[in-house]
Amino acid sequence: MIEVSHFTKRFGEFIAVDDLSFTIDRGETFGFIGPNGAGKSTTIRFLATLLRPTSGEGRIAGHSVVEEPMAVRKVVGFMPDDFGVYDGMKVWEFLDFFAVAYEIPRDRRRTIIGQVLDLLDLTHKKDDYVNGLSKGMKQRLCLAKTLVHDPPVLILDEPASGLDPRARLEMKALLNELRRMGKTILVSSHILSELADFCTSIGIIERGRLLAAGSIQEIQRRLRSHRVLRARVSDESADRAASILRDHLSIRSVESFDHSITAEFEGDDDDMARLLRTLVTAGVGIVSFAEEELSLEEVFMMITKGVVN
Amino acid sequence: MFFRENPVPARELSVNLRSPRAFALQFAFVSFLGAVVYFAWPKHVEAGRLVGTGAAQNLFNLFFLGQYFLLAILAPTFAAGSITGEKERKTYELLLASPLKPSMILFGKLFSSMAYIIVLILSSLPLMILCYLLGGIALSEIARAYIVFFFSAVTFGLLSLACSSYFSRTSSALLVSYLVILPLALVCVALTRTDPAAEDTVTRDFISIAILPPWCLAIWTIVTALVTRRLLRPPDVGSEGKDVVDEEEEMKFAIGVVIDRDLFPDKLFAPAKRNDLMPDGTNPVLDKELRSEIFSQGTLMLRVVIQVSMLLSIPLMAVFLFWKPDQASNYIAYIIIFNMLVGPVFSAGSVTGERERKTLPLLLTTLLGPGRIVWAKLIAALRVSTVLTFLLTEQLFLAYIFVPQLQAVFWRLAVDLLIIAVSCLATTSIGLLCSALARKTSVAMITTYLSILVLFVGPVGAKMYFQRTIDSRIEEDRIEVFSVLSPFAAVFSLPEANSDETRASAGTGDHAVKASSSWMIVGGVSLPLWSVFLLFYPPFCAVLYGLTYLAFRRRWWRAGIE
Amino acid sequence: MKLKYASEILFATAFGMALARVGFLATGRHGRPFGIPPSEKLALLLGGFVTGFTLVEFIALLIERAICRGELRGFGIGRKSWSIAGLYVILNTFVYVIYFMIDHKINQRSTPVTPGFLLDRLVMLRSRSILGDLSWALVALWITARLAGDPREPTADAREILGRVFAGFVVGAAIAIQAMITFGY
Repeated sequence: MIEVSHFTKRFGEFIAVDDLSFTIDRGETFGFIGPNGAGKSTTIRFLATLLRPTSGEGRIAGHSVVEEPMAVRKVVGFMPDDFGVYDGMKVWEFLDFFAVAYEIPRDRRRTIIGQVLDLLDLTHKKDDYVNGLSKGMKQRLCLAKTLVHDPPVLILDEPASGLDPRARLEMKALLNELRRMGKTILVSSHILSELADFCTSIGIIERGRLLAAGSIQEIQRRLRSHRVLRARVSDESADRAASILRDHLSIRSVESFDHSITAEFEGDDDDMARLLRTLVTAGVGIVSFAEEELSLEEVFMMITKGVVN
Repeated sequence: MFFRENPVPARELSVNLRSPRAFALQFAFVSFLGAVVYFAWPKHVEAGRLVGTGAAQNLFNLFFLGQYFLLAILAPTFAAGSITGEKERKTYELLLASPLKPSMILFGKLFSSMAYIIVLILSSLPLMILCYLLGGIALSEIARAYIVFFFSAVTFGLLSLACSSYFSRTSSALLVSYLVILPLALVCVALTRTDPAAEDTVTRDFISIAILPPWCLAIWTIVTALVTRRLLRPPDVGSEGKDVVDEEEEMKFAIGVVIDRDLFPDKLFAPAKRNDLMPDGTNPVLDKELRSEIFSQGTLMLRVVIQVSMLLSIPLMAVFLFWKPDQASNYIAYIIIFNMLVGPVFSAGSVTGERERKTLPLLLTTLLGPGRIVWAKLIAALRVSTVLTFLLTEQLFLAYIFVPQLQAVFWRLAVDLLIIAVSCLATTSIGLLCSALARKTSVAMITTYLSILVLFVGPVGAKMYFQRTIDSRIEEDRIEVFSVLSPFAAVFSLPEANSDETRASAGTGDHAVKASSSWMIVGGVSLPLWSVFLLFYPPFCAVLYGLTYLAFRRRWWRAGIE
Repeated sequence: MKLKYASEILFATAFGMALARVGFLATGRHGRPFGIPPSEKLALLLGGFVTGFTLVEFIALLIERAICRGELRGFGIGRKSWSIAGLYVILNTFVYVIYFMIDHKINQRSTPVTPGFLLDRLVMLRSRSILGDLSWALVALWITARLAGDPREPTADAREILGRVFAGFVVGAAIAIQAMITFGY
């Protein structure tokens, strides 16, 4: 659905984005992660047809972002990270304005505006002035605006930035809802936990370079050649367990502290099962035995070096 | 204490004066004045000694007038944006929350915005001294001129600052300061002008030394008190909902004229708000601009503009339409000057405003083409500025009906109205072009004002200058060509009504003999200047519109926003 | 004040000025080109102005009355002043026109009534009396209202207030001119 190939953008000497390529399939929710100033917004603005690339190409739903901006705008709902609203307009007027701008006929507009207001829980604010809304409300209104022409692709730049925790949760629920509706979503954030829950795949960008892209599991697997085992054993068998592990072929290193043992493990799931059996048959009292999952945060910290800031 | 420990001027000065723009402006200013002196300088040294006196007085007079009006034009450009700028950049609350006293803030803002102008004026001193060398001017005369400059500059600066603190947008503050300052400047010049022909120098000196300063001091005190009170307890800072201006609420507390867009003439500014969805085929941008945005900042600016312009028009129409109808052109000139001030306000901010309020990415990712956007902005701005301007023309109709001298040239009315309409079109088109090219509204506004000034006043001013100087090294005819650019030249090229005296002596129906300068030869055909003006501007505006379209398309619609 | 009303005032002012000019010039044409005392000059100017202003405002009052037939609100002193002044001017002129028409048709004496002639006469002949007679009528109106115990309107609109200001202006002008005549100007 979204395809970026070799996108590069230079502002004078400064290279904002350097040879970026990735694809997002239909129905996917792609999380675009990177520290502030990494080039997320530049890429997103390029995809939203607001920025001409120095080189490279992007396609959305088969249309070239550079050559056919109008066709792209028709299928994309875009929400910028930092946006303003028009003064002196009411919420419904604001939505009507954009609906007309997307050339939706009047009778359809009426139902669509109602639906969108309903979806975003803004119906009670219908007659409020947009410039009087709170930040969270404005954010929701802008999301509503991106939905008026029912685009199959949503490009959302930091939709949750500046929101309070409750609004953040609500925004998350909304995005989940949209994903269920079958939209392809590209959403960026610099806050990882925001994306971890509902993204089907992520891309990590730093200093204009894409460091990793793909599903979260895939990235995790790619990131390490070994897995980490964490076990808790009963009091008396701690030393024995450690020595067994140290002698085991597929274990590379073992650290033990008190009753917990952390070991780096090489091998597949069968190997791990066999290891557990060995421990059990050797009479080690095991309280817990599990592979340590890498959190998105750790993945991120491992991939990026935090140089941007 | 005000100087050394005040961080406001320190910051502003380092920003304002360090910029290359400041240097460029000063360079342009001094070289312009240098050119003025150079061309007016007597050609032969020997002859110069003889004719020096007259030439020097002429030059000095020119200098005084030129600098005075430059002062009146420049002072608001620096001062009117100084507080609204803080509001627009959202640093206003930070500033107010700082431990600085309001008077310190005010003083700092004033000092920093005036410092540059004072530097500009002082840099002209060597040129003035050059005139002194020609003889014929007393040093006291120069000193007096600088006293008038100083008091006027500070008064103008303070008034602009007051406007800046009362409005939320720079463009409104700028417009209202001009409307307040220009009449004051006219009165002040009329009272203190350094006309060598004027014999009554005593009154003039008395006014400039004994009357002007106390009046200025009084104005300073009142304005300072008002502004510091407003800075101490700002009514325009508060919760998130502060931006919403309720028109009805505002009308209750309005002084003087209110605007109610359900009523007839007010309706012309903008149609009433919609209660239902737009019909299909509407240009949404046009609809938005007219129905929502014009009054979004409240109607204060519009109301002030209407009232000031109407009040000013009363004495002007009394003098130029009913007392001396042979000078009716002056009243048209007033309307055009008013349009020069008002026209750009609504157009120069229309593209930059979208950018500054960060609504441009929303607008540009819709299916609206650049043509529709630019067209809508042009029409909306043109509508408001034309309505505002034409509010001042109802007197013209009456004058042409009831004053017999004007009745005799009744066809002039149509031409007058056409010239005004074309001027409206021109100011709006220029403003829109500047808005599409600039990045900031304040820059767009000032460029627009400057370009309009050069186009409209430049040719007339240059002509007057070369007529006054003793020997001109440039052919007058060449300058003559440029007068087609100026609506003022066009208006004054129209045949005037007979004055009462000539009417009494020469009977009725006899038009004044037209000056040779009111005719132009275009492609072998001799046409009156006003018709060339009317023929020239519409295509010129079409070209400007085309340029605006291209600029908008290239800069924003295709290239996007960095 | 509504914008409509503001431009109405501007229109009335312009009309007043136009009539002031007509009146002032008419004096020169119809005899006595020299030797008009300043008081009379002023009376002609102000009289013409007041006539024009009044006519416009009176017609506007009639229109206002015709349009908002639904909510009849009582006339305050201001509106009554407009009404009296306007009717004074119109009735006077009407009588005058009738007289001249009859005079021309039947007695074949005076010149035919043309709009220009009418305008000249209207302003010139009435300017003295409008400042004299009308001002006393307005004062009488005010005193009558006080005697009758009419309530003062607390929420007077612009037309009402301007009517009072106008009445005050007329009375003031009349007194000033009377003073000038008294002291021989």
